[in-house]
Amino acid sequence: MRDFCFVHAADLHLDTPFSGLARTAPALRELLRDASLQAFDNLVQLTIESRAAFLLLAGDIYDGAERGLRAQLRFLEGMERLREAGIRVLLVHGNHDPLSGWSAVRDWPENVTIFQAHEVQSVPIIQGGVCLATIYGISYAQPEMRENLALKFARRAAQGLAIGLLHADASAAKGQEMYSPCTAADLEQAGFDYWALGHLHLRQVVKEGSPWIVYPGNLQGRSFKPSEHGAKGAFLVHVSSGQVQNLDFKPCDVVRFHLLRVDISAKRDLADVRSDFLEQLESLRHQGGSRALLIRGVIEGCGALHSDLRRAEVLEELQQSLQEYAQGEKPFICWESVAAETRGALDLEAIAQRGDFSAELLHVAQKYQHDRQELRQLIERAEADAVKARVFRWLDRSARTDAECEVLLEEALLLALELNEQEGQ
Amino acid sequence: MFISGWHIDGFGVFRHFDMTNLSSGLNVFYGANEAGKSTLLEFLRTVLFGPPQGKNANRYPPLSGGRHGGRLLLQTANGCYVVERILGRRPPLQITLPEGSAGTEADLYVLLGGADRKLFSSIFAFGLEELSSREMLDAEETRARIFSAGITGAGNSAQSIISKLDAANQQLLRPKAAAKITTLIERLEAVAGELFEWQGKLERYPELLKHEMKCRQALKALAEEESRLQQDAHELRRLLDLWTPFCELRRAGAELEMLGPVPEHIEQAVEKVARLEEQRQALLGQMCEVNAASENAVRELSEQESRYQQHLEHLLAEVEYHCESAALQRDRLTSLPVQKKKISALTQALAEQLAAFGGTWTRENISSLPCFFANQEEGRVWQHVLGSLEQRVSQSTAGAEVALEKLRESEQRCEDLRQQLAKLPADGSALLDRQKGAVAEWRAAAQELSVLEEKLNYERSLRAEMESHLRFQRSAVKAFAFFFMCLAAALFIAGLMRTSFSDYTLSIPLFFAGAVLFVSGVVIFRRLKRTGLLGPASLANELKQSRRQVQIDAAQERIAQALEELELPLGSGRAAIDRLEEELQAQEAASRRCHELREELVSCEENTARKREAYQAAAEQVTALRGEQQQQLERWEEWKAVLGLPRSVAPDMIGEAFLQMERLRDTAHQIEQAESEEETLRQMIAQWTAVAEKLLVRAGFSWPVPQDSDPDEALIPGMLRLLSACREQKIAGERLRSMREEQQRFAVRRQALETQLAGLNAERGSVLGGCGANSEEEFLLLLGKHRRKMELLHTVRAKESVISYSAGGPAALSKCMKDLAGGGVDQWRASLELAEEKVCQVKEEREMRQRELFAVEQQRREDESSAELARLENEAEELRAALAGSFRQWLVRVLARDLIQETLVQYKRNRQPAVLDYASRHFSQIVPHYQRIVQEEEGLSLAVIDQRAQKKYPEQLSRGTAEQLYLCLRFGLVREFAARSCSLPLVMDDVLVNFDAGRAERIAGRLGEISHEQQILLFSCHAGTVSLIREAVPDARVITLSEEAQQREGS
Repeated sequence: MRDFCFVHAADLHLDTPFSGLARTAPALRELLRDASLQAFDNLVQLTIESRAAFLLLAGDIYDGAERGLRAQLRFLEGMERLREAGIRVLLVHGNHDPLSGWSAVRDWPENVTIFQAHEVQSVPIIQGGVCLATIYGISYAQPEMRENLALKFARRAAQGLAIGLLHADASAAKGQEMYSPCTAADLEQAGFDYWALGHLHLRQVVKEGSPWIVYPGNLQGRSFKPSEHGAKGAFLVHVSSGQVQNLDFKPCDVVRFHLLRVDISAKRDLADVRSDFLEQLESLRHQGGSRALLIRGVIEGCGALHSDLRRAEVLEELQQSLQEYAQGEKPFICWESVAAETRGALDLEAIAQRGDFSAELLHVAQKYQHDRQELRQLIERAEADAVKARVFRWLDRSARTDAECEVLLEEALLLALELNEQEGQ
Repeated sequence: MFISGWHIDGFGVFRHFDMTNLSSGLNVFYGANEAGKSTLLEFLRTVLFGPPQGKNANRYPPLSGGRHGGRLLLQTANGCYVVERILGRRPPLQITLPEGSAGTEADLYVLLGGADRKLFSSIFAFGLEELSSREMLDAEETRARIFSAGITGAGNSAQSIISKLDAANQQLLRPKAAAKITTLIERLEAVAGELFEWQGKLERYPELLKHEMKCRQALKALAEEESRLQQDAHELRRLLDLWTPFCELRRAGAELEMLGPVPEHIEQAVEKVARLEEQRQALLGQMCEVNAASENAVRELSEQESRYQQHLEHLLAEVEYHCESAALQRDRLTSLPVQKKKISALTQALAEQLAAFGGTWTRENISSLPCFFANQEEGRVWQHVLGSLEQRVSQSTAGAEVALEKLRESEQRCEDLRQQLAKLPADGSALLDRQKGAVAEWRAAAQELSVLEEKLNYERSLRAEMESHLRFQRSAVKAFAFFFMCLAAALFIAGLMRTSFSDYTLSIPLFFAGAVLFVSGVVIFRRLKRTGLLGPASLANELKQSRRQVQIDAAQERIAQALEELELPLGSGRAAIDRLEEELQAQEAASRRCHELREELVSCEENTARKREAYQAAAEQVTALRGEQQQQLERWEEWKAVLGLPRSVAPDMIGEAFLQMERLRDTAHQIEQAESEEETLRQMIAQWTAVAEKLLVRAGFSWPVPQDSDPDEALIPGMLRLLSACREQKIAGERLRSMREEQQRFAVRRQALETQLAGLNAERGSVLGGCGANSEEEFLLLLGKHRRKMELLHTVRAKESVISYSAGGPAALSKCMKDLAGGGVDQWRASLELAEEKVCQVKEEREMRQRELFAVEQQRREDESSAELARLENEAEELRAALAGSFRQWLVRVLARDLIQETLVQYKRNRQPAVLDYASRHFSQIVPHYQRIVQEEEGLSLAVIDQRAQKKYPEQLSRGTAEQLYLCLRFGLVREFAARSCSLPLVMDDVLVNFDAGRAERIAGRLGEISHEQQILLFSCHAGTVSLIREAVPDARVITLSEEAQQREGS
């Protein structure tokens, strides 16, 4: 059997909005708007240039069931380019773009194979009279898929590489098994050579060799969540003598997200903080080539600078200063925001022993820490004005966890204590 | 903190009013009405906190002049603060710290425990009116200040934090007003609206596609309709257009019928005649041209013949051949003087070289010079042998000189050593050793003597000390024995006294004890008498000292012997011995030096002998080498003579001599070669000149020779001119011959043209006859008829062609002709107008559809390419992120505020009982009818419980009792504030006026108690109150304001 290679990508989320970003510069806004589409163009270019036998897309091509027209047409254009290059595309739909979603495209080019829902289909890839591989796949009919679809897969053809194409969550936490939860053992039982998975945005090779279980991650980072940081792209899989030899990660992203953290505990002044940020930035600049870098700075830790950082304008000025440093530099660098998650040098145990107002404050807060129901009621009471202001039409508070409530309480307590102690000085 | 004094610059009735040494306890200011008590109260408030605010507030402007304000002296544990406030001054407040430096308002704030004017006026400095004002005490703000005082030491911290948090949150979210969060929400709603619109648009995309398709189909149908109508209109328009040609066609047909028959071939005859005429005219033209050309040629021929010289043409080949070598001849002529110069230079050089080589050689015998290569090697051997010998001789000579130099140095060294030895004294080492031994013996004996004398002295001092100690001991023992005997006597007397009282139980032990003590005293005396002063220890010591003296004598003996040996007088001390020892050391050093020089001299003499031998050997070697060198030089001269080399040639110059010989030979050879070449050149020049002269003579050319120039060289231009002339004549000959040939060709041509012209005339006559015309006029008439017929036929064909073309081909022609023959022109016009009208309608509809399609297409393309949805989604996400951030910030602040509020409520609820307890204690003592003050559940309202456990609210109490209640509550609050923050003076203005005598007395006692912890300034205009205070609190200071005022006036 001749050697060949194929490209495995997933979670394209075409034309998806970037979440959790503060107001950005107009130039960057435009870049972000088109980033997912340009990343897809890069993927198509990669597939053509690497002379891949086929391209596998493991779900979440679009970001929502109500797919954007621009995204669909751009995707169609990419498929046409691959058709002209004689490259087949096999794809499944995931929870973000189930088959029930709206489609502006009625007729796909003949090189595109979309796996249907309800049953696993197999598609042989034949070139020069030789079956290079057989792709097995199944799509989501609806956004939610609690069934373990991996159990439906079984190898039928002996010839060529057997590849499973699935949008599934191989690391689902208890209570969150909404996207075809499965385990590595479930995937191994199918007897495949390679599992081309999608859904997790963090690139990872769950298992190397017989079978390979691979998540390529999403094609373009979308936020400052840990899973969205760093290089994003697709895997170029090299097959030799009917066996997967190695995986070559190829970045396709256009904008890269990085979260830089600086601890103030050993910092003398804000100039030190700025220098630390810039040092970290310098090491990042050469990693991404010409890609734009979107940076969020987080200042954390406990130290003397905490009181300075509580002034809102300090952070804004620091961000402005960092942005001015990056102005006109290549690659394009944008400091999205600089946030302070610092704490004052408060000794809570000592305060609790003092028996004064601060100690009483700690006592009151502890009452809420021990009673989550009371804590939720306290927060709900506090949110009364926000309810009137229609804040919750835009923010979802129902998903707020107990841990988040506790973090809110802790922040409020620290703020109150710091103000008290500051007044005392 | 307490007020120790003040100075009023000008405030109300006061001017330059000083007060000092106020007590830290109770101070009573007594004065009649309008003495200025209330003014003083307000003065204190104003200096500490500034003037009262409000339009109607009484600021007590100075009535007697002076600056409006004054200063207070505030005494603290750290010292005295001076607080001065002059209203109207900039800045009004000045603070002087205890150390004398200027303070700030913040220092005052801290000094006053964070209290403000309101708190001070309601709790600490109040008059009767404020005492009975319950609102001031109940005010939440006041209570909060009191009870939150312990938060940080500032009375209003918790409230201020809450205010700060609320103020900060106001910027984020404010109900029914613009703030960051509301602005974000408004923007989000706007973006959401736009997004909704865009999503709706995109959902309509398939409909848009359908609509586009429908538009396209409608357009297609309309295009077909228009095409059909256009076709009909076109048909009608064609019939109308063809009507005129059709009419013309009919007219032409009728005229053709009228013309009758015309010879068919007349047109060909016309053409033929015309062609023949054209040919005839052409032939005539050619003939004219030939004649003119022939005449020109004849004229040129005669001119050419007159210029032609045939003999020069014949000489051309020879001249050309000879002129080819003209450049060579010129070159030879140029080279000849150069060659001569070269020979001359070489001859000169040879002569110089020969002169340099010794003058014995000439150009003729140069060839007999020895061969360079044959003798070169031999010369090198000579050069090497003689050079080597020379080098060896010079090396040996240098070696001999070095050896001689070393020999001289060695001999000089020996001489120096001998002189040094002669200067040194003779050797005395035996005597020296003996004297050194005696010195060592003297030193050892002296050392031993010194140690022994030290020991002896020590033993003597020890003995003296021991004797002194023993004397002390003896006197002490004597005193002790005497004491024992006295005590025994006392005991005996006591025993006797007891015996006299018949108390035998005690008298017997007394007697016994007296006896024991007496015996002990006697024994001690006896022992003292028996032993001497020093006892056995003293004897041993004396023996030891005598032994020491013997050792000392022996040591002195050894010293005397040593001095004798050294020939020194007895009694010589350490200094003499040291001097002698130094002399001995010097003698020893000289002896060592002499020995070393002697050894060195022996070694040096041996070395000199060796160097002398080495020098002699070197001198012999030099002599031998010089002899050998002389022999070789003689042989060298012989060899040079054999070879004929000059004697002056040195061995190292032999190579150069051979090279010179080689150069001589080369130069001679070059001269020979140059002379040979010169001869060859002369011969070749002479040959060329002879041939040239011959040719020029044959051509009849002369060659003038310019003065001072070479005749041979003058021939060359003459030859070149001859060549040029020969070439010109050759060209002229060729031209003459070609002109003669051309003359012949003209004659032949003229004859041919005349023959052709005759043939053409004959043919024209036969053509006219063939058309039935006897003359040219008849022929022209026939031709006119024929041409009209042709025109009509052409018209018919053209119209038929037009009609056929319009009809769409021959197939449709008959139908068209048939339609035209029908002749319904008016009907066609009406139908055409109708059709055109319909076409316009269809066109309009089509354009409308086209516009619709364009709009739909544009809409579709916009939808397809628009990034607006993505932009809006991104903007919505950005706004949502900003909203989440701001909301979180807001929520944390609200939670912090709620926590502080809740804590404050709890704090007040928990801490207030202490205040009430303290107030209850005072209140129950002042008004025994009531037991305690209680707080209502809600923590705001107060009540008192009487002895029957009945609750009464303040409004149910009499005015006096209520005032006592409020006064006691203030005592509690003042104490609580002092406990949490700091102690401030309590200033009261006539607050006891409504109290009955008993309660007033009790109040006075309370004030005395409180004044131990707190400064109290009590203003009163009642002498009874002052008496009460004086009785209850004797150490209270009473100041009469009128007296003070008088003092002030006096001062």
